[in-house]
Amino acid sequence: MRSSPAQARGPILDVRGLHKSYHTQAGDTVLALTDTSFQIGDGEFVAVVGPSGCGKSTLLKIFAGLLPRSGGDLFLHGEPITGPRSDVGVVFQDSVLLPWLTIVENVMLPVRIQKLDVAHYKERASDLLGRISGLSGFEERYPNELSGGMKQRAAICRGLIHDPAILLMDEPFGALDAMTRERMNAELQRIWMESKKTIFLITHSIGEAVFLADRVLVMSDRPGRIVEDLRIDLPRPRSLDDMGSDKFGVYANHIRSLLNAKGGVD
Amino acid sequence: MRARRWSWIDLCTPAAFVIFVASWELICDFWNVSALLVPPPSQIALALWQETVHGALLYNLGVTLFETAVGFAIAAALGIGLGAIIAEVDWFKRAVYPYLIAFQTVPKIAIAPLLVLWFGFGMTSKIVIAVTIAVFPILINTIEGIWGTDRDRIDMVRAMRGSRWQVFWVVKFPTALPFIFAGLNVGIVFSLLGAVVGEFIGAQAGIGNLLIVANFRMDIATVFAVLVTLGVTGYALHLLMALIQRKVVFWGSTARGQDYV
Ligand SMILES: Nc1ncnc2c1ncn2[C@@H]1O[C@H](COP(=O)(O)OP(=O)(O)OP(=O)(O)O)[C@@H](O)[C@H]1O
Ligand SMILES: [Mg+2]
Repeated sequence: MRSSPAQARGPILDVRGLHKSYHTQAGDTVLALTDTSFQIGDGEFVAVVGPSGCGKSTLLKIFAGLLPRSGGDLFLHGEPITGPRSDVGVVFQDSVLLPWLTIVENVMLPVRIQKLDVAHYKERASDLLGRISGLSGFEERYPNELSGGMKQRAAICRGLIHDPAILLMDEPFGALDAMTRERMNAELQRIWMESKKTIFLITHSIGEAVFLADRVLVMSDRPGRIVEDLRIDLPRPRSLDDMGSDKFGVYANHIRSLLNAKGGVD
Repeated sequence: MRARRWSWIDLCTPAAFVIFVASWELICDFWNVSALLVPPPSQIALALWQETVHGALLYNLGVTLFETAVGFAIAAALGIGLGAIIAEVDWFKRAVYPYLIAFQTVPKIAIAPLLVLWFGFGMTSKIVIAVTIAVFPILINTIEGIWGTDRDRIDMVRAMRGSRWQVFWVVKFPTALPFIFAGLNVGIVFSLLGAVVGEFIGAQAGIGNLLIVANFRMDIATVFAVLVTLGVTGYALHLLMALIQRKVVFWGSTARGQDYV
């Protein structure tokens, strides 16, 4: 069983007073994020829930170095984030596999882009595809020939291939049906426990957040802020049956009441 | 692709051909239409045979195909290259794009006589006309295709520390390929049209020249024979492009391109 190692090893991600405003084409300014502060410990699984449009994706894009911040400080391994980094992996809502590349070529894309040693990572790719995501035998297939869940698993492999310290996931299972989603949740927990990565997960599903995370950050309506940092004290590995337990229900209801108080969520 | 099972729908195209040709023949026969105005299919077929075996149809077709191919190759290189630069480099877009759009509204056929005047009666002027007409659909579709690249795909490569160059070659260009092929598909037929129009205006050889000469001689059966050749050639070129497209853009997603005459 894993206990939270956050305090023991110090934060991997340190966010202090982050602000972000967009300049719209109409010429006005939209404040998307305001005064956001939190830390993520090495190896922690942190989930973020919040109403639609509250700035979750904005937060993730800033972490990924895809968007500049408007204010505040942001450190990864103690270094300020100034652009995309090779020790970060990203998984998007829609798997974003390139249809003209085979599954293994898609998974190897970060290796190709960063000009790493192909032979070495090829082995890691088949290991990830086979052992971790159960996609062995599909290496040479094209994305169109895979189901939505399989594509998303391949996208997770792509996020992990270059062995990043932290994996950022933006509603990775949002497009899947409820049953596939639950299976993917169980698999993601297993992948996390085996790979010992730090995971930052954005989700619309309160159940998914409580099932997977060590901590759930609840965000307010736009402009987004963290209104609660909730530690989920449930033993690992968690099984899907645990989702019916009293303790699980207490956490879920607490988050739901926070979201409702702040203007509701779907 | 696996062979589809045969079905009656496959008969529609050949059946339409047979019915069309047969009724044409019968109508000419029945109403005694002057062969000087509309020759029956049998005479057209005969003229086609004569021109192919004894005449210079194949030679002239070869000349036109050469002009078409060279014009198309230049138009493709120019359209894709320029399109990519316009789509990617903002200052170049601002400097060039408005003028291209303005020029695009000029009917290129109208400047064809001028081009013949400038580039002579040889093949050069035909190639230039072919390029002028064919380049636009290729250029515009390339630009649209590159601009249409999904934001997530670009972000995905950027998040991997991909350079701008890598973003272009790894996602933008392949994403644009179905559009580029839609442009090439139109472009190759426009190239043929451009070459033939050039030959109308003034040439020593080529299928357009053959057509004008036969028309002048009132040899209407040959005129129709040349028209048939032209139609078949255009269709064959289109099929060739479609075949190449299926091989290159094997992942499907056929884009509906735009013509921009
Ligand atoms: N490029 C942009 N220009 C202007 N405003 C933007 C831009 N991107 C996002 N916004 C605004 O910022 C706010 C936060 O957007 P963001 O995508 O981060 O929300 P989100 O929490 O991820 O929502 P969802 O749950 O629906 O994905 C929204 O109100 C959105 O309208
Ligand atoms: Mg979002």
